[in-house]
Amino acid sequence: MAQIHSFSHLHKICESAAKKTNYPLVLKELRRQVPRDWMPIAESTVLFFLPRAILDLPTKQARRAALDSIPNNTPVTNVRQFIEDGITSLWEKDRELDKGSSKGRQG
Amino acid sequence: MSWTKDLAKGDKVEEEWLEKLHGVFKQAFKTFGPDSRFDLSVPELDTKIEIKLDARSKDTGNIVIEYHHNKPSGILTSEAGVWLFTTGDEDIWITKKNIQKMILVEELSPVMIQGPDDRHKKAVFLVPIEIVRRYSSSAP
Repeated sequence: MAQIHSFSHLHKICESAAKKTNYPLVLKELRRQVPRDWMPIAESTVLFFLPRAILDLPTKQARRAALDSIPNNTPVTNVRQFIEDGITSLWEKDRELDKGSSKGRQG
Repeated sequence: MSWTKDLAKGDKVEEEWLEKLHGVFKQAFKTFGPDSRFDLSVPELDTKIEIKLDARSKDTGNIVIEYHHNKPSGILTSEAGVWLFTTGDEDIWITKKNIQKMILVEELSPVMIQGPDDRHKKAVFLVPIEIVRRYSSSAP
């Protein structure tokens, strides 16, 4: 288990753990890397990395499976809605960027 | 400024907004208690409002968006769909969804801060006020 040197260190661990995308596995990875007294804040922080990690999965089925792995009894209520809203925001932003770059290529 | 003074000022701002809202929405009400998951409710609009007085933002240039203070808090627990950040000079209305969008799209990094009266450090996003303005909307 790593010692947490700074909050940015915890932040990096959360970013990396989110890439597991399956919620129980994300928590397992956090528990493996984060000392117990940092776990509550790690569980909150990882929620901001899960939308990008899930959106970056290669298939719709994989994204659906990741969302379905979120239980209802999380410390934060409505985690699934929070993640879904985040995925939608990032997807819209990515689409805007794609449109912009294809316009750029045409022009 | 002490926490109690901050709380009193925040309460005053909430009271002022409740009074303004009552001019149009008679059923609007304010919640009480430290664990309230929103500050004002407007049943006629089916809208809950979180009001954040952030007078320090005039000096720092940042709006503070909290998400963990010894337990999940702020943006992670609020039931308010609409937030108002008031700096004293300016009122910025923004939806909760747009706050989340702003954090993710702008790839903001959280930091830990501890106010002089805070027992525990809190995890927050410090968002430059011009970015908050970009994601803002009109008052409900």
